[in-house]
Amino acid sequence: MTSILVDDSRLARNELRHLLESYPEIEVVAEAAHAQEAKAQIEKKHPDLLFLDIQMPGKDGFQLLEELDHTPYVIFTTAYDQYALRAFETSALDYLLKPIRDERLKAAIERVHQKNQVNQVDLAPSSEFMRLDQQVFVKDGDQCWFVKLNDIRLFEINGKQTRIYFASHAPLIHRTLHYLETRLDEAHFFRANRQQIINLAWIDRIVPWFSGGLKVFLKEGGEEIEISRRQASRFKDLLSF
Amino acid sequence: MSLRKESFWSTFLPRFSSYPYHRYYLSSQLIGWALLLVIHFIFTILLEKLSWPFVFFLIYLHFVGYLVTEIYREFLLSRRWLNLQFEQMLLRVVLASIVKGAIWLILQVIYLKLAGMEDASNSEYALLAYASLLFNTSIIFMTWNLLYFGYHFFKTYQLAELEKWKLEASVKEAEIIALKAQINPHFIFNSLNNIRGLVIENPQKARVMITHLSDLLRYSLQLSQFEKVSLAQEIEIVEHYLQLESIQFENRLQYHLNIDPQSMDLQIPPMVIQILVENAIKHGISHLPEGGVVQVNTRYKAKYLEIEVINSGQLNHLTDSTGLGLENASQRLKLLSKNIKGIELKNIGQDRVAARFSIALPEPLSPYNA
Repeated sequence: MTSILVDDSRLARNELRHLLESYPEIEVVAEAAHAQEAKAQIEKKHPDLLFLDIQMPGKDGFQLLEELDHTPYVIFTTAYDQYALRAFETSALDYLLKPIRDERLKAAIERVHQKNQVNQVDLAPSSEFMRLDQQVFVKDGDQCWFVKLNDIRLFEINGKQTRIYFASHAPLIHRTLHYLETRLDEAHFFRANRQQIINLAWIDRIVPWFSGGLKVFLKEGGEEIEISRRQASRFKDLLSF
Repeated sequence: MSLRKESFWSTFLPRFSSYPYHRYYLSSQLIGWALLLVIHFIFTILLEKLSWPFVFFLIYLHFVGYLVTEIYREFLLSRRWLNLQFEQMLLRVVLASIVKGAIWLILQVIYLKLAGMEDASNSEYALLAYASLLFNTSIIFMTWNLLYFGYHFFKTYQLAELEKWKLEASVKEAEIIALKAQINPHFIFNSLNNIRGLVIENPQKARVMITHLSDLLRYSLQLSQFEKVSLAQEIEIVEHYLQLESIQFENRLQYHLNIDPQSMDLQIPPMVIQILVENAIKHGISHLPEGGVVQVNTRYKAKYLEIEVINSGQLNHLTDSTGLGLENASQRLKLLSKNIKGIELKNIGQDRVAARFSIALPEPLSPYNA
């Protein structure tokens, strides 16, 4: 398993590297002292795991994750930050308090192994589109999530941001719908109208609608999406065998 | 012109005031004068026969009264009478009421003369009659003033009370923050973690750093309870702090302390320099990928001590981190001591920010002014 250490203090990175010596299966492929450097390294090396400090000069750890199209497994490290701690607790993210206790590190690494076995995620980058099993990091106030692309049933335009719907949540992400359209595979995601992109896997039923359009009902959330006439013919083509 | 919501009545009335109307003003004004008119009607009907010329006279009378108060309002607002002290205001208002009463009375007499109606001038006791009329009219305007100024007094009092509560609450909150944040816990745990890393790399340096950290903790636990510490003690603590931050930032942090030797024994409130240095690092140096310099200067002037903390970076707006941090720091300084004066935050050139303040030094007690 490859990993990258992100912390603004060299000594802290050294310390972690030292702790990780007891886990030969974790290979540290790079280190970064701030978000910008980390982003470049992650996009270049595509690690399986990230050890990420929250407080860093410039962008913080959460902001870094929000910028990534696809996030590896993340173990947060923090010295003392009541706001971050609250986010961890409400969102059940894995975090370690510095100085890091060996038992806690061991437990965190074990959890990553477990998740990895269940998901069997191939973390190698896809060339053009985001893959369905890829996870993205989403933060909305105190709450954060790692969401698998396939769990998102609806993307909805919201100014320059996009609201995503998954489970019972609907947070905003800092991406335009237009950008997302270019990154989502057309075989799984469909631009229903100017405002919305739907995940085809989440369609519950379809009914004919006014002036040649269609109305789609989504599973779980029960959202009702109108498909414009122009898009409706494309949609029928897509669904017919 | 203010964009506040106009009252319902102002849409019907010609607007001749250059001051915005309060939302209750016009309705109170109209209802008040109408009520007075109605009372006059009722009394006239009860006491004597009502004739048409007298009805017109009464309407004229109250309309003129209304106009007089409108013009008076314009006058008192232009003179800012609402901002006067109570005694000054009272004198002016009483005089104004009499003057208004006289004007109103004169306008009444003119109307009666022109209309060829009976007035008091034919009576035996003309002077006494006018005096009692003037008293009556003045009382009406006095009542008007009582309502007008009374309302504004009440409002100002309410606002002042509210402001006082708000201020007290924010001071309390700031005090709690200041006490809680004497040494940033994030800094303590980061230092401990760095020292742990240092133990492997450079055990000798790790031992030195543990000493710095314990001195710093001791200072914050013990000395910060005191009113005053010597500048030398405070500087020592700032040095411990900077040493510890150097292992976090390594070559990204440089610092210089230029302490006026004369100022070393002066007594200052604890933590005042520490707060600014902490701030310089947190909001200045830590945001610079290449790092920067922190400089502490003190200058001893006869009656006060000038302290200056300069760091690399720029103060752009109060919204950015540097500005906000300095703003918070200066709030904390103000809470620490009343003797801290002239807190000033500004950019020096293109790449540095300075936070300055001075501490008034107690004058030596002389036998004459003791």
